Amino acid sequence: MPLYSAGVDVGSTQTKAVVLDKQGTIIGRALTDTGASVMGAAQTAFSAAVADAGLKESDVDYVIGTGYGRYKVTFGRTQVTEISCHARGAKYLFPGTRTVVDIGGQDTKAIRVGADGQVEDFSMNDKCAAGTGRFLGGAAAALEIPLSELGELALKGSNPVKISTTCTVFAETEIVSWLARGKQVEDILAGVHLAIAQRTMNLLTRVGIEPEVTFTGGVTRNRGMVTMLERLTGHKLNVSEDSHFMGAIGAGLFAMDKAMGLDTTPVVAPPASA
Amino acid sequence: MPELDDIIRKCTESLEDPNMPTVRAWKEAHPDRKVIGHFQVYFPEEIIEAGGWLPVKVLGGGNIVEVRQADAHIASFVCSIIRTSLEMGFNGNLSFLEGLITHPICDGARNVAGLWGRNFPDQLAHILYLPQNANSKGALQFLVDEYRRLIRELEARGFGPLTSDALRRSLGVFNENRRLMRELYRIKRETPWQLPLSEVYVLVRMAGMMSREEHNRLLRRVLELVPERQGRKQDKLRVVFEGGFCEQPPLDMLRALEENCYVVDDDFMIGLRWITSDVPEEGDPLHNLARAYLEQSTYSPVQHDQRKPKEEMLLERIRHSKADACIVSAAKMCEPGLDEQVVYIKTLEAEKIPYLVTEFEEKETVFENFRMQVETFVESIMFD
Amino acid sequence: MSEANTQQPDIIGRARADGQRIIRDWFEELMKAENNNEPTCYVFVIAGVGEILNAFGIHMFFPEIGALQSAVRKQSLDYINLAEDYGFSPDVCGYVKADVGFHLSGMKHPMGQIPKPKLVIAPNLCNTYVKWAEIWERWYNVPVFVLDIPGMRGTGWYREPNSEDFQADVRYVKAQLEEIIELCEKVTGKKFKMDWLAEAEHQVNIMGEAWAKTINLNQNVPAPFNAMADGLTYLGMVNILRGKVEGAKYFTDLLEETEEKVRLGIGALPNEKYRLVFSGTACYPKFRRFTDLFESWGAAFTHSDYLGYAGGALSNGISYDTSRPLDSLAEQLVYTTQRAASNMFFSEDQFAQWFKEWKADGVVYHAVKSCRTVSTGMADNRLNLIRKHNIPCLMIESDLVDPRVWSEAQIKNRIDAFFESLESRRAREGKAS
Repeated sequence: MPLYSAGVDVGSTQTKAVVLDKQGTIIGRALTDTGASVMGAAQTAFSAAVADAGLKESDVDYVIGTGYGRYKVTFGRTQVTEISCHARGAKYLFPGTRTVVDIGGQDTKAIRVGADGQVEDFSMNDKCAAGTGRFLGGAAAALEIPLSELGELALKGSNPVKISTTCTVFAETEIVSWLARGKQVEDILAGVHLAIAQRTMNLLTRVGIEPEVTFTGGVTRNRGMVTMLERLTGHKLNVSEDSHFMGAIGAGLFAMDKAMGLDTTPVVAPPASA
Repeated sequence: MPELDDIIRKCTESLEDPNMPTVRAWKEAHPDRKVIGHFQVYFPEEIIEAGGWLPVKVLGGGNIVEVRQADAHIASFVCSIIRTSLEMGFNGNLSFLEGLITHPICDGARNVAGLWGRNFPDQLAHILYLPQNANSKGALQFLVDEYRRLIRELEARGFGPLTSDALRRSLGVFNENRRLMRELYRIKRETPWQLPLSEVYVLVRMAGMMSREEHNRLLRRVLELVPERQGRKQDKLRVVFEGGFCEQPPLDMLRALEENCYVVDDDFMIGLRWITSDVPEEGDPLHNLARAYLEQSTYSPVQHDQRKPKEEMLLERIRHSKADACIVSAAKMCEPGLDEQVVYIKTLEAEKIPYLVTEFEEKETVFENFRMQVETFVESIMFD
Repeated sequence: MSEANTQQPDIIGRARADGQRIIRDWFEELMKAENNNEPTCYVFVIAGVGEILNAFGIHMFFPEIGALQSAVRKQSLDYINLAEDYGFSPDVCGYVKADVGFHLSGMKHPMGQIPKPKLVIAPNLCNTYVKWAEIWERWYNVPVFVLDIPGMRGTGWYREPNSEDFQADVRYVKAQLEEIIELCEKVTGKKFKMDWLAEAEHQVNIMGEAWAKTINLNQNVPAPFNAMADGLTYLGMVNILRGKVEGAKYFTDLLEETEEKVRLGIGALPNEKYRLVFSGTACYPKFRRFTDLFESWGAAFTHSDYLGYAGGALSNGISYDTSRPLDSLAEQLVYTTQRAASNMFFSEDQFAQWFKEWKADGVVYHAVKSCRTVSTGMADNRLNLIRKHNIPCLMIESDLVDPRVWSEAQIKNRIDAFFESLESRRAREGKAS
């Protein structure tokens, strides 16, 4: 009898879902904007991931919700915080992981992971959204450049401007005034990326950086951010195509534990083929 | 370039270099002596110099030092000067220090000795406890005892031995220094077109990063050169700036300010100018120095003294400098400064003195908003 | 409910009920003070010198307790808004603003009408006390006495009472105590008698001893009281009753009750699963919710540094020499101030010791925007506690009284993740053994 599990990560901007088989292989993925209806987004993403896996919803034995909207995953059986899930997912895809850095829509987290995958310490940004994905969104809006192009442009900036404010709202004003002073867009963007990377470094310093460092969350697709973080941390970052799904993968792995009747949340060995 | 402009340019360059080249040059010239850092606001530098060491004012890294490590050690709602000062410990800017001496001027600063001690265990991380009840009959003796205790603490690290004569000589040097600084302020007050705020500020601030004898030479030369300046009086508003007693706004903010008005008095670096008249050189010098702290001194939001209600002191500053208006500012997250703002505003309102309230942070780099506020404020008064 | 609870002797729950009654009585006394023309002194919870004030029969009002009560009763935000409209910055202490708003709205506290001060004593162990007191100084034109007690001068800086440095501090503090006594004489028209002070100190000796023993009883499993929720009531009593006969009685009773709970195995939580040491202050507008977020995981707070510094540093007991009351008071103020636990000087070792003795599973740091005194060095302290002692730590940030700083989703997320990591730590240790 085949077993299937799913993890649904309801973030502030996007909702991610994955379906796993008994070996822990990701057999279905889906991504949707969270929007106004958190519950609806969770359901949409879950249904789409199940369809992507070629299954029916009733085939899935155990679902775990994670992320800010985890309590809205009403079809799920339990919830686990995204901190545990990102650590679990990162350790699974990159078994050498000892530090996880996750830059999400409104949260940035640094997590130190033990040798066998448990969360040893973590640190998150304060209430203010500076240094998170939202900060990039603000920059994109202020500069009228698509979000997906920011990172590449930032890499071309050789004299990053100083973004001094700690507030996302004022950062946009600051960006506009740098523009007014005739600064190159590339330099401004380099400054924005550097500011986020520095805020992230603060969190990493709080937990202590140990290699390997795995980068997770939506901002992993931004190559400028990866480069900037690598420069500041002095470590190569593990990044995967599935980094964006890391929380959902972790939740799916915890769900598989439950489906297999394991009472705790131990670490599943990485897939033999991976 | 005229000599005076050149002097100011050089001073500006050295205070914008967080590695403090003047201090490093002193250390190179005096390899057997040590440098003691002291945090804002007041510190009896006379004592350190009398023993042949160099006191250096530690007041943050402004918008030049990038914070990379310190934020991980400090809560998010603490002011910038504490962060950047700690950062300069981590990044080597202050590598010349034998130790850092602080005083619990505020709730954040009372933690600095602990932060410093934990992270730089080789250094002396110490509190010099200035009496905060200036009105108690026990305050003076306590301060004398506290100065003696500090000297013992330093002597354990090779300082001194300190003689009364050396301390007397030091009092003399500092008396002259304060006289020269008062003269700079007089010029700024009476003919601000000859010596604007940002230049006086740069010159005064140098006192915290060189020996006072050297600083005296610098100021004497400046004062000789000032009369040569061809300044012309402009039709500008005369203002007092209040709010610079601890964290310092970036130079560009001061420049934005002086473009629009004459800043005829202020509380920038008030710790260097805390004592307002000569400290008697005859008698017990340590006692005289302690007495001057309590009895011959100005005011700041971090000292409570029933004889010096701060709003009265501010009004006196405004009257004495014949200012038309006041700019009441405070550093972001600065509890004492922000608390004090409230009563200043109420008092200025009651006295019908025009004022502008603003907040700054040392690490700011963009001042368009500030400039616009000041311009609008000035226009509202000049074209009223 | 466990079986023990159904057969509880009468004394269980007495301290809580008495505490509520005493707080109500205290507010009622304060309400009558102004009409009876009796002076009230505004004082603070750290170094409040209740010994002297109670000796004179001067009413004490603790603005911090007033502010936190307004937060518990969901009134603080209105007050804070009033204060910000008046000109106070969003970035200054919420206690100050809650108090300012309270004064601006006619001093009608949810607990009753509070009298204006005739005298203010502001110790400076928190500098904001002084800024706060300056507001009343201007509004009410009352004498503000800054009681300056020098503290530690550096890491590991301890001075024994017979040392020159210690004595210098004592001289200064004693001079100020004499000045406070003169002020009290002026305010009350009474001539001070040293016997009054000796008697007040005698009561504090008894109170302090019982309080210290009670705190130590929380090393038992299960912990007989919650250091946060119950601890708050006890702290109120420490402050209000300091120097009074009722204070000695309250804490002697509390000790008896707590011993009884230990004997019967009654815990603050019916099913205690985790034990935590707490650092910082509570979040009063969310007081119940805050505790629930931990209790839902079966976690009990067994000890906290707050029990020490917010209760006049009596948590280790105190022993006044009542044969020379004034000198002894000065010495004890200097001594306890030098040793008050906070996050300033190498307190990670202190926390490691508490962690062990109170049999804890972790340490929770709560940094509050309003209190930079206890919060500034917390992150550094936490880093060192983890690095030096490998103790699981959680850091959360909110505020004492400003509900706007509370971010439910973020705080719950951190707390849940912390317990997930404790659970997996336990599972591994279980497997290993």
